[in-house]
Amino acid sequence: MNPRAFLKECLMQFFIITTFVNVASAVVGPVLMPGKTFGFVAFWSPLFAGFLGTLPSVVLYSKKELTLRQTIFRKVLHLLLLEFILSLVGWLNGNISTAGSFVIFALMVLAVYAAVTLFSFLLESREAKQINAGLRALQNRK
Amino acid sequence: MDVIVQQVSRSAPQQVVIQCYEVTDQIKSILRFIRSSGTTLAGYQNERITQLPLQDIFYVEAVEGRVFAYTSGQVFELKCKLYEFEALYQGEQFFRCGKSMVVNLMKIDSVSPILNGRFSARLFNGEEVLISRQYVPALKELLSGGML
Repeated sequence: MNPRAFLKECLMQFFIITTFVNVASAVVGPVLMPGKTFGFVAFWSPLFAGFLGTLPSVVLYSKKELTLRQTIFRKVLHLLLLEFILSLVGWLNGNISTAGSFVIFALMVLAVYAAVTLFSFLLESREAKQINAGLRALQNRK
Repeated sequence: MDVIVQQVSRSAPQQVVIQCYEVTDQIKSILRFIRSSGTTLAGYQNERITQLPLQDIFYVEAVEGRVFAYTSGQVFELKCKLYEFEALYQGEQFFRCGKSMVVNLMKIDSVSPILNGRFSARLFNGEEVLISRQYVPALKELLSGGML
């Protein structure tokens, strides 16, 4: 993949992650911290999380075509890096202080990661359907 | 469009005549198919040269500076560069699907997504080839635009 296409993909990831972090915070926040209120500065946190969430994507970049095995390995590495970076930030700003909160946070990251992967897969499945229909039409025409 | 097939004697030349109001994309596509169906390439295998029908090729791959054509069960070396092959036959159902591969669209059974925006194409002989994500938009455009 060329660097420009990779950058474009990173930007797309950034916006997807930001949206999902927003949704996850809105759903899980009232359960974990029901009385908590935030100022305007809090609006930056999903963006910051989006940036940090996109940063480990560097491990997915490769000029050469990766095999499925290599891709899965890099995806796992990517997830572990994400868990590490986001947990570290959570721990530094005091949101994660106990083992329990760490587990919940790690599961949240995992859920967002799974949702993004699933969403991408569904989009690609739709693309594959279009391509298959186009191929059938071409092959029947000849 | 009516299709008429007339058998002629051995002494008469075989020919295809297309009668049309104008040369549309569909007519061009038929022309390309007719022209390519008789095309053969010199395929090298163990220092033996075989005339390889173009439509028998499933995909063509460049490996360490050499170019190989894969049919349903055999591999032949072609004495040309991959980009030369692509330039010559891209209008004849051959599509660049990766940095080092050109695939025959007529030989693809189905396409399915694999991780990271790439697709895997299962060919009619059971083999699978990768379609890099950078070539996916071009493939979609090609198939939807009826450019072949």
